[in-house]
Amino acid sequence: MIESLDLIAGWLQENLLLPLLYSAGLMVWEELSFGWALFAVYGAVQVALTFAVCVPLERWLPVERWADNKAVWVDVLYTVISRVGVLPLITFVLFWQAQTALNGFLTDHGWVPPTLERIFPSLLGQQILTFILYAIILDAVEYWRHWLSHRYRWWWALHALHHAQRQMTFWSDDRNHLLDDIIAFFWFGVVALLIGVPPMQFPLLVLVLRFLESLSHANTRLSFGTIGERVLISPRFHRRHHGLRAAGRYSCNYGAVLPWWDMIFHTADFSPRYLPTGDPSGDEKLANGGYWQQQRAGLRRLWTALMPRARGV
Amino acid sequence: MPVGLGRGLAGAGLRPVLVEGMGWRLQGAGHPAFLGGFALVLNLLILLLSGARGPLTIGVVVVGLALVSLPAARFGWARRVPFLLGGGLVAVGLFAAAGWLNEMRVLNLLGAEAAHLSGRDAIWPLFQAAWDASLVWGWGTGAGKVLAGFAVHSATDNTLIATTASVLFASITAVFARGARGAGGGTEGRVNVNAMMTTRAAVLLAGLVLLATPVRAGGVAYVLNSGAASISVIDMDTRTELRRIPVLREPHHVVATPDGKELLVGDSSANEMFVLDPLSGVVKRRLPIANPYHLGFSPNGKFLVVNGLARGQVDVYDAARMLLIKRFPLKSKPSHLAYAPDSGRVFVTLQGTDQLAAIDLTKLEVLWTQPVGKAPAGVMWHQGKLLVANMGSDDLVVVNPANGAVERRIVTGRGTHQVLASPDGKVIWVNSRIDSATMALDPKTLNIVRRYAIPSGPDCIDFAPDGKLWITRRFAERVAVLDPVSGNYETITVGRSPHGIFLSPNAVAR
Repeated sequence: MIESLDLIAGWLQENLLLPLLYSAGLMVWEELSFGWALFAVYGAVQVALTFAVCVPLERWLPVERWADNKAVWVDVLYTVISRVGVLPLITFVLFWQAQTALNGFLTDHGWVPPTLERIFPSLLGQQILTFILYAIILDAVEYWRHWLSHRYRWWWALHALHHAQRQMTFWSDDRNHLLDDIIAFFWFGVVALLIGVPPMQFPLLVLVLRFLESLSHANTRLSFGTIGERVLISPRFHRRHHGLRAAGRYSCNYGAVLPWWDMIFHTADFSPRYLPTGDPSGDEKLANGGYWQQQRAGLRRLWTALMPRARGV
Repeated sequence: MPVGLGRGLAGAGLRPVLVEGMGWRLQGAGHPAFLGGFALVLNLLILLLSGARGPLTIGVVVVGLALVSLPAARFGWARRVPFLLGGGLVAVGLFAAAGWLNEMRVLNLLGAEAAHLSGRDAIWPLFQAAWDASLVWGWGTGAGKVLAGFAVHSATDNTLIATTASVLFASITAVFARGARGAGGGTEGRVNVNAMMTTRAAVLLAGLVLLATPVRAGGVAYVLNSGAASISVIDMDTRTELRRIPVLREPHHVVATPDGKELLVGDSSANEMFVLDPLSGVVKRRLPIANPYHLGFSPNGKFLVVNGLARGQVDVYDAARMLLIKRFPLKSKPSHLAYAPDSGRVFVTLQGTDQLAAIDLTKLEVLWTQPVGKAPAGVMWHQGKLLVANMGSDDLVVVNPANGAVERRIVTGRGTHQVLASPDGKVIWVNSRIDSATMALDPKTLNIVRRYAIPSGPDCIDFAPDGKLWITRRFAERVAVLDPVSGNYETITVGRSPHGIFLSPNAVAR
C-alpha cells in the first residue's frame, strides 16, 4: 500500500507539479514539492479512511441527531484545506524557509541540532520504536500547547473557534483559526529543531495518528473501555473537552492521542457522560458562519482580548 | 565563628548556613531545596563547561519537565513561567554570544574540530563494547544495569542525581571495557577473561551465521533512499535488493574516500555523516557534520568539501584529519560541486540565487560568484571549462572557470539536472528531470549523440564495469540499469526517493 501511494505522489510530481514549477520559474522548490505531493496523497487517503470508519459510526451510534447539519460543511472545508490542500503547501514552504533561516543563524554560531538517535545511538535502525518515542514526545508537546491555548485570554480567543462547533463530528479536528495554526506550526518547528523530528519517514504511522485525532472528535458513543481509555483517547474522552462547561480557560482532557498527560497533570476526566458541545461565550458567527466569517470573528475576538479597553476593562 | 556567621545570617532574616548535628555541618546538606539547587546549578554548569551535549540535553529536558509538571502549591505558574522564559532567554543569549564565548567547548564548534564534538565519542564506543560484552547479567557494573540503575534510582530517590550518577556509571563501565580490551592483569584479569570469552563466542557465532549466508562476488550497489532514511544494498548480479541499512533522516549523496576504503554518506537533515565499509556495507563510524548534502574529495585527496544546501554553507575540511578548515556562508542553496584538476579551486552551484561560486582552496577565499542560469544543479570540469546543468531551464552551459562568464549554451532538456563523464571520458552524460531523459553528449562537440527515455525523475548515475549506467529514479522508487548500446533498461525496486548511488563491484553480495 505504501509503495502504491508513493507512486501516486511520484506521478503527481512528475506530470503535474514539476511542469508547473518549471513554467513558473520555481524549480528550486522541486525537492520540496515532492514532499508536499506525498503529504497530500497520504492526507487524502487519511480523509478517506476516516470517512469510511466514522460515517457508519456516526450513523449507527450517534450522540446527537440534528435536523439540519449545515454547520458541519464548513468543517469539511477546514479538513480538505488542512490535510490535502493549501495549508500543507504553505506549511512546507514556510517550514523550509523558517528552518533554513534558523539553521543558518545557528550555524553561524556553531550549533548543530541533535536528533534523538544521536543522543541515544542504539535507537538507530529501530524505526518503529524511534517513531513511537517521537510520537510520545510530540503528543506531550501538543498537550502543553493545547493547555496554554486555553489558559491565555488572547490565545483562547483564537482557539475558541475550534470549540464553537455545536455539531461536532470527525470533520471538526482541523477546524482552527489560521493564526492558531501558524502558532502551532512555530511551536512544532522549535521542537523539530530541538529533537530533529523525522519528516515523511513514517507516513503510514502519521496517517494512523491523524486518524485517531479525527476519530476523537466523532459524534459517536464510543469508548475504549476502562483500560483502553487510559491508553488512547476515545471520542468519549475528547468529547468532554468539547463540552459546554469545558469551553474556556479552565478545561479538561487536553490530550490529542494519549490521555497520559491529562492523567499525570490531573486534568483527566473519565466520567462516562456524553455532553453537548460548543462555546456559549462565543460570537454566533464562530459557530454558524462561513469559513471567512469564522476567521474574521476569531480576529475580532482576539482584538477584544488584547485591548483591555475593547472589553471594557 | 560559624555560630557568629549563622547568627548574623539569622539576624538578616536568612537561615543559618551551619547547624550542629554531630559536629558543625552545612545545614542545607540535608535540605531538599538546597540539594535540588546544588544539583541543578552545579551539574548544569559542569555539563555546560565540559561540553557534554548529550547529558546536557537530558539535564535540560529533566529540569524542564520538572518545572512544568511537578505540583507545588507554593510554586505556582506565575512563578514558574518566568523561570521557563528566563531559561529560554539564557539559551538565546548563549547562542547570540557564542561568537565571543568560543572558549566554551559546547559553543566553540565554529571553526574548531568538527568531529567528536561532544567528547562523548571518546567514551561511548567503549561503553558500547561493554554493553555488547555483558548487557545485563555480566561482570562488574554490567552495561545494561546503568539503565536499570537509573530507573530504580530515579523512581526511588532523585532523577537529577540518577542522571548524573548513570552518566558516571556509564563512564566507569567504559573504562572497564577499555581494561577488557587491553592486556591488564590483577583484578582486571577476570574481567578480561569473561569479556574476551563473550567476544570470542560472539565472533564465532557471527562467523557461523556468515558461513550459512550464501556468498556471491558480483558486486554491490548502494542506493541512498532520501525519503526513507535508508540505504538499499543491491546485488549487482541478480539485480535484487538484499537489505537496507538504516540511517537517520535524508541521505542524499555518497562519495568514496581517496583510498577507496570508506564511503561517506551525507545524512543532510540529521547533520550526520555515515562512514561505511564499501565491501561489507558495515557502518564504521558516524560523524556529526552540519547538513552534509553534496560532497566530494579534491583530486589530490587533500580537501573534502561539503555543501549544506539547507543551511547555505560550504565547508572545507582537511580530508586526512576531518578537520573543518573554513566555512563559507554562501547564499543560497549550495547544491553540487566540482574541482579544478589541480585541486586549487572548487566550484559550487547556488540553486537559490542562480549562480556559480568559485572558491580558492589555497587562499581560502571566494574568488567570484556569477549568474549562470536558472536553478543550477550539476557541475563538472571538462577540458579547461566548467559544464553546468541548469535545472530551472533546458540547457547545459559552458562556463569560463577564470571569471564565471557563460560562453556557450547547449539545449538539452527541461529540468537539466546532472552532468558527468563516463569513466573512460568518451561520453558526457546529462539527465533531464522534466523531459524524463538521459542524454549522451559527444565530449568534443557537446552535441547530443543519443537520447534515452528514463521516466520518473532520473537523478544520480554510477557506471558499472560492464558499461551499464545505474540511474536513480527519484519519483518511482526504482533504479534503472541502462544498457547504452541497446537503449533498454532494467528496473530494481528500492526505497522512497532514491538519490545518490555507489557501485562497489568488488564487494561480496550478502
